[in-house]
Amino acid sequence: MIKKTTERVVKCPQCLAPLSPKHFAASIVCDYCGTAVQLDPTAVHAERFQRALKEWNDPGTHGYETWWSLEKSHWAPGPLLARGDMTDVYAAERARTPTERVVMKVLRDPAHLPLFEHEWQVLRDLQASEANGAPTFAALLPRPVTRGVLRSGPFVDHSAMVLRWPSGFLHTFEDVRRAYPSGVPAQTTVWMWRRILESLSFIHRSGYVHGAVLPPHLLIQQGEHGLRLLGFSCAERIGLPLRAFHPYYQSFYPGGVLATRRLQVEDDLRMSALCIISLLGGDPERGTVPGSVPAPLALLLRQVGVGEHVHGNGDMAWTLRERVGEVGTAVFGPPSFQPLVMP
Amino acid sequence: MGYGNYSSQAHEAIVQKRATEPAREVFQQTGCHPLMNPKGLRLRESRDSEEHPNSLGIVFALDVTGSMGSIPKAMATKMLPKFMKILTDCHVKDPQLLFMAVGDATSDEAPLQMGQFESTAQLMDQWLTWSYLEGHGGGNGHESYELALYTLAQHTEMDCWEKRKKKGYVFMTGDELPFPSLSKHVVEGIIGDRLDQDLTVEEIVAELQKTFVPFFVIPDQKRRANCEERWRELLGDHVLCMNNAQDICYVSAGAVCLYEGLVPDIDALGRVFKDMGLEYGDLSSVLRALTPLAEALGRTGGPAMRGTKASESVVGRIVQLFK
Repeated sequence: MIKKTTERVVKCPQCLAPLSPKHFAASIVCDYCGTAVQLDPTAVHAERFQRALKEWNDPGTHGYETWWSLEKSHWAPGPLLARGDMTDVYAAERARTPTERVVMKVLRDPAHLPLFEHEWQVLRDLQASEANGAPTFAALLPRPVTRGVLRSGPFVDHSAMVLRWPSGFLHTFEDVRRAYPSGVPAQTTVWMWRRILESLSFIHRSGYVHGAVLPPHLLIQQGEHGLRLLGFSCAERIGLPLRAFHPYYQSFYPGGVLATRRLQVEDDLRMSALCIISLLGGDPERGTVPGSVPAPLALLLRQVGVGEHVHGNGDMAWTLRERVGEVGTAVFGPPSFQPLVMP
Repeated sequence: MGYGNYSSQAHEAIVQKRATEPAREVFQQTGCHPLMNPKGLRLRESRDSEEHPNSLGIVFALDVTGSMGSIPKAMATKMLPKFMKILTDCHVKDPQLLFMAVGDATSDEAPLQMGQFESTAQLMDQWLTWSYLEGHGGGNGHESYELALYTLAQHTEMDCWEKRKKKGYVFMTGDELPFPSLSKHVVEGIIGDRLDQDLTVEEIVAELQKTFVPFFVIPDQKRRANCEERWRELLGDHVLCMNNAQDICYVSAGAVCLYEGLVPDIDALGRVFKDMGLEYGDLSSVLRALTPLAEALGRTGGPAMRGTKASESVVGRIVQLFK
């Protein structure tokens, strides 16, 4: 449809001199008498919106008194949540309204920058994965927000990455081990192990091996049956060498990984079993499980811990998940709601 | 606008009559309704009155492109009375609803449609069902959300803000990205405003959030990948990811109640929903969508920004690199 336009003669209301405004000009100063003439009541000035943006991006506008600037974004720091192997991990929120709660990982030693950068890339790849189940499982992995170098605050010039806050996920397996030194109720470990294996299955289908399925890298959801994997700095494409390992948790690594330094999907499965063993109060180094754990579950854990049930074709993590479900049903009956209660 | 009283029974009666009707019977417009055409728009007002001394402006900006039509239909045939009932049960005094329909300014015949702020069931329903569900969109991964947000920032006035400095609410549903900038030509063509420069979507959101609490609501988990990251850059924790598009009214009403502090925590909100007859599966689906917001507002009983103490057992350990 062709629109008709109406020609208009624009005159200065003060001296009636002709005005020649540009097509989208909202106002014009009369060359003859100097009067500023507003041309159109429908005129909207972008400057108001530009000023709003400037104010919006100033943390002071929103009442923040302390913030760290990461490149061009500003983040209000919260408490220190944990000290990881390479990073200090803080709760934080975007110093703006609406805010966004995040986890900020601040790199302590620049020597670890390649690993830090690698972790970011792996997380980006996994979020972009088109493997089966991606919408569900990618949401359960750490979600990158932004990264860069801190320009203000106590860690100026340190590299940092910002990840979305894992809502409802508070305690690592480390915390749980401390809260339950003699082991958690065995029934709860069925859903925990299945959740780990579901995430691993997605990671493997996306072409990666996690490479560090360790107690501090497993987060439990409060009051629910959820679990998240963290710590992707050692994740690698299947078959590639392991970049680094955590000496403190050496007993959780299958011997082959540290010997050949090449990652295979079965390594993740074995490590997952050892994490569950440690949660039950067992000894991951020797693969022993307390006598209180029902025999079929204990047997499966020991077998997987030493590398049985983890070979073959197809999606081994998912196959094992199904097997864990069968054993759980045989031992404890049909699945029931068994959230782990943290004291 | 906004005169008249709300009747829950009247609203239920309206939607029940058409609960089983197909969408084309409920939404009969075959083009933009003249009264929803934004061309020449000056102002949409949410005003106090004797009947409604504490008006609160609430906007539903509904994406009506291809894949998003199920939300307006669910609201018109079942859910909208529930939204109002939750607000009433949680003592939101005088909500006034405005419906907008959003499409794609580069390809749609009616990329923006705009109702009025209303207090009565009949008029809310009227604007909702006068919306033309064009059902196209551009197929380019973007819709003109920024045009709708600009219109709200530029062409609304609300007594809740003017008199009481209480912001109104915007719930924009969608599954695509906003265009990075809003062309002054598009604005002039569709609304008639003569902008002196194009606006970025950030500038529009910055202006909008002065008077509104904006939310972007993604209808289901599958569609998060399309747009969530970008919308979080703009709206952070105010991006609500539903599990089911049918949850829209519970999720949006719950967000208002949490934000206004009308329920102490998410569990209390769950009890309100349960009392309304929301069954276990649907209830957990709705609460899952709202939990991150509740946590952000510190209304879960959870840690919000308190966090937990640093784990001493791993302090000082270093990762060993392979050379």
